[in-house]
Amino acid sequence: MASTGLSETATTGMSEESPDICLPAPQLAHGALVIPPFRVCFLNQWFIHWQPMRIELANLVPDRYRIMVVQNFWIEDPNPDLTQCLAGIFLARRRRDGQWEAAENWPVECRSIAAIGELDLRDAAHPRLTHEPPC
Amino acid sequence: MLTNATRRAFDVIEVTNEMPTHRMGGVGTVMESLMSGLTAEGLRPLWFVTDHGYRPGQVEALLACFAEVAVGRAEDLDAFEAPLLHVHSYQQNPALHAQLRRRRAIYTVHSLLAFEESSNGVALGGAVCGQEAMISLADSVVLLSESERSKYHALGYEALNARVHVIHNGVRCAAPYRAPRGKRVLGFCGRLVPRKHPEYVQWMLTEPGFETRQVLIAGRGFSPYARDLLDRHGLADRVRFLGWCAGPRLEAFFDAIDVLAVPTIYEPFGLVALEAAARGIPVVCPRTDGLVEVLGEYAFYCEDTSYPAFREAMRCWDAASPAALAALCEGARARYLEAFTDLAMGQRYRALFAQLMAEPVPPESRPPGSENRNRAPHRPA
Repeated sequence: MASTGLSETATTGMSEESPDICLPAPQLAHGALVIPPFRVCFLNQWFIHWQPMRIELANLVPDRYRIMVVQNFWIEDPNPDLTQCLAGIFLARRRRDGQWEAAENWPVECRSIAAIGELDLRDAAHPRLTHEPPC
Repeated sequence: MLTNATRRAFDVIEVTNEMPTHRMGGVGTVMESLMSGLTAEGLRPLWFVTDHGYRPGQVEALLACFAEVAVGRAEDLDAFEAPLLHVHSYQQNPALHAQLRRRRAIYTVHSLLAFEESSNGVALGGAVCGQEAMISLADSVVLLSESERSKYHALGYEALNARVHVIHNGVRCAAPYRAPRGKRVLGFCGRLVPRKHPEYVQWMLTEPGFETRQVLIAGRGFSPYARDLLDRHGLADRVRFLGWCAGPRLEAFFDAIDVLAVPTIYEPFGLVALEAAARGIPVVCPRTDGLVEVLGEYAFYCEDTSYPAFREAMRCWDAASPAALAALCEGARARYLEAFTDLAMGQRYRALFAQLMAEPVPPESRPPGSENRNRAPHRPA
């Protein structure tokens, strides 16, 4: 699901049409995970987050996280353009069985759209971030 | 407490957990209709929001959008005077119960939680007992349909409070009436919970003759089941989940669909079916509870709540001629205009308020207890 969404976005070149909103390019800055505004195309719908996000690393339990773009079912959306949907970011942890947590499960109940990176906080002094793919 | 009220005395205080913004369910829509309906009747209510889920910024927006609003704890109701409390809360707390003991109050039950519990297959724990306490403490109870009255009786709730009235909801619809529509887009609107069977309308896409149709789903919640359903049937590119739709987006949803599926097994009233009827959208549904009272004979009814029955009703809709569709939608629209507008609801509540105020205060109702409630007879299939 994730690779499909990202490849569709890349082929349409929508990021060039809207330079103010780019594909997700998470960064580590001043002890925080910073995610700029983004939109991802998946199955002919755009999943959009209009504002930058800043997640303080100190608030996260030391662990590996998968950074997921999800369809956000928790915010009321008045946008009449039905091709656009609200997106959010879900940080999935590894479960004991080795699987990544799924955003679909209670209590999050959001739809996984695309994986955009991994965040490794197991060494708190040296957090690592990998993108897939880079913006 | 935060308030923009300009005075302390009102005709009635509407106590709610939800206003017409960031609606968790149908109660926010009913509040919106009460605002216009009661105002048209010359009443001046206070809108008292308590036990809510709004964030601070959303509370500020509420106070900016709507007049005569107070947001606070149940104890803060003491700051206002009114001959009647009209309570819609589905979140209960002891302080609100204390208000109901001391003040004259009507409790509108928007959904019987004992039936929500059984029809969704979930345990609501103390919420059912809390609702029973509210029922017993209110002077009068309002239910949304005659069907709800039957369920109220089946639960043994008349032992808690026998002063029961049925008042149907109403809605204001500014959208244009447009019928007949096409046959291309199937719609579902509502919380994605088991009792509403959102999977039925998606399964229809796998049926012969429906290979080119699409589904739009407007509502909160997603689940591994919803994800797996799309994957298992290869439907991901034909089903669009629109999320939690409000205002213009909800209107765009109604404008885009050709039929609304409401395959629910418990429906206290049927607000979304009414909103569809007002706009000229045909409805496919079982003869479940309040839906029949809203739509009369003007719907494509399923014989029962099973998927095969839903599929058959959908085929009837698909086979209907434009003239037949237009006639059915006009009938549903006529029912809406006659009995289910915001103004009609406002008239009914004003009449009930006047009736209750003319009566002496009734004796205290029997308190809730373990011996006065029957099991909810309804169980999910």
